[in-house]
Amino acid sequence: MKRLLILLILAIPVYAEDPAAILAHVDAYRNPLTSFSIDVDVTSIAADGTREAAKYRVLGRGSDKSIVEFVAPATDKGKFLLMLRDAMWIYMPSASRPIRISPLQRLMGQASNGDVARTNFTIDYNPSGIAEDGDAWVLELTAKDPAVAYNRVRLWVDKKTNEPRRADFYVVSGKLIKRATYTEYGQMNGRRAVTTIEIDDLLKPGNRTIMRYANLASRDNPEKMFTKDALGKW
Amino acid sequence: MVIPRSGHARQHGYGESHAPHPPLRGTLSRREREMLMWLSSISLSRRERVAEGRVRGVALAITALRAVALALSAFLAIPTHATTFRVFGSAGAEAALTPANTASPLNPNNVAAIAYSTNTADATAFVEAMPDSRAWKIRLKARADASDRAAEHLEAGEALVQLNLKPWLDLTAGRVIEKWGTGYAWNPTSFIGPKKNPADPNDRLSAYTGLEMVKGDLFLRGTNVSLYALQHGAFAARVYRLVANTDISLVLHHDRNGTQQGIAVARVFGDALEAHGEAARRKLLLGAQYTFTNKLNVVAELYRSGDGATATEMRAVCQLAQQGDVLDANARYAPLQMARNYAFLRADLPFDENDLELITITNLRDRSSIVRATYTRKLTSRVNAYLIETEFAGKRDSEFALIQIARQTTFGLRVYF
Repeated sequence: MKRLLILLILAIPVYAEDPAAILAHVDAYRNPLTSFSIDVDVTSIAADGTREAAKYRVLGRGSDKSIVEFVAPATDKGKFLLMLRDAMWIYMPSASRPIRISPLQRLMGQASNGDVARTNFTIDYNPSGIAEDGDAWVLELTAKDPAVAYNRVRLWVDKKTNEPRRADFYVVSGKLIKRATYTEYGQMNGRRAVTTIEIDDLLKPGNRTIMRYANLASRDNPEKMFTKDALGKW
Repeated sequence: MVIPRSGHARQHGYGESHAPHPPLRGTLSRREREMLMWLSSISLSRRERVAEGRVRGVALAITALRAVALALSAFLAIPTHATTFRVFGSAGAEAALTPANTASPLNPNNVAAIAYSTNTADATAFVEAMPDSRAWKIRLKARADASDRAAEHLEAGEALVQLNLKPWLDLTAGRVIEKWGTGYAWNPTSFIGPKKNPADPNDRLSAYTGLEMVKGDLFLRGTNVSLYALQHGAFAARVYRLVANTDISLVLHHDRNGTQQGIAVARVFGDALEAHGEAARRKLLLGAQYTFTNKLNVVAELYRSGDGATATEMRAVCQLAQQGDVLDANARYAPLQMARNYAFLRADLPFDENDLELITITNLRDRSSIVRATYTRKLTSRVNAYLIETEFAGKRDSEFALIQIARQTTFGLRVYF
């Protein structure tokens, strides 16, 4: 019996790596500054090859506050999106007031509001497991709140560098609906960071959204900017 | 009798800003003619009719140029050390067909002489400037419009200076559009906001105009307090806080007519459902919004106004018209505002380069409805074309069967910059 127990314990994979620590490294590649601005170019490609492009400027503070300014196309200029943890508001210049919206009200293509505004996994997910897949760790992430759009995420992380490589997003039913691939890295503001993410809509094969990040800059974004009433004013 | 009077009718009338001022007929007095002139426009008739045969294209072009000139002037007047500029807006032209509803007792034999077609053009420019320090901000919204049935019109919808005095305090002075409330089609707590047309809740022509005010915004540990000093000794206040993921706003307004209070709330449940509500004295709005995975967005609202007309009062409007007092009957008629209970439903489906929107508004007492369908096609990243069809349904003498036009068909083109 004792021998069997020892065999069982040896059979369980034991990783010295702490999933929470790995996740913190992953987040640092996506959001290396505490108060910042970054430009995001989003290109949405439909299965028939049709392309649609948009530009955003994301202003962030801490891990759970962000504002997305709509820079292009011209039809969307003047709009702002505020995201505080899971709560979202959109400001349209014609309406002159922020409107509460749900996560499914998308910006464009396969990129949800959260995909553009959110630069952090830790705020929404707990690492609930870790496994190996070749030269990558595979983190199992479970949503902290049932209101989060994706109930579960499987995240592939490079063992050597802790750079995120791929993330699979699952809904409550257990269905895999979206895959993000972290395809390019570069230097921004003196730090190595993710510069390109490709998102595939697995419900509609052939639909892909490419998000390119540039011009990461440290910027002192005051706390009051991240309030519903200040949205669109600063 | 609590049916909204002429002032209300003028502010809230159904339709959009291109409705015509008709030539008048018959033996009406001058005052009656003047009254009918704006009543018959159904909507926002604030302009004079221009002579037939005028060179419309030139007038429209001049108006658009004026808007651009005003925006440029503001741009050049901005201190040169401003480092962030935002200039954006749109210009458009559209044509509307509005056959008269001669079956309505409010427009027998087209006494209002509603024109069959109207062509309009408009341009709106937003100009914003602020330095990197964000110590101040200047904002201007300039709008110009012209029509082949109205004079050109140029105005500053907003013109304000905003000062970032402290990390917790902003001060704003000038003409400001202030929108309160969480409702989509109606905002009973929007005491100092521009009047909303429930059939065009997004103000697609950017026609809203603000009020002159001095405003202080205090940001106090997650609670935002806004204090407003308005013209003629009026004042207002609003307190907002996010409590348990729920937006809660308390509002107050005082002017020579008395004091009003209200509350507005909104909350998101899960990843697709938003619920909202507003309550003010004798007015209540409840609504929800749901987004399906195929991007279909549906908004449903119920609105009750205790100040709306009773069935008896509604009948009185028809009786007035049937007795020949068309003028007074029109003065009492305020579609989309005069009844007590309305239901609103909007479904919007974007697909590829297209967007389909369907809005229905129903008077829950007489079951009459407005149905408005909009098809928008994105031609380029800067140009949209659209077609809007508005129909009215209801039994004789019901609210929307009384409307002076039989239907409205609008098609247009809009360029964004």
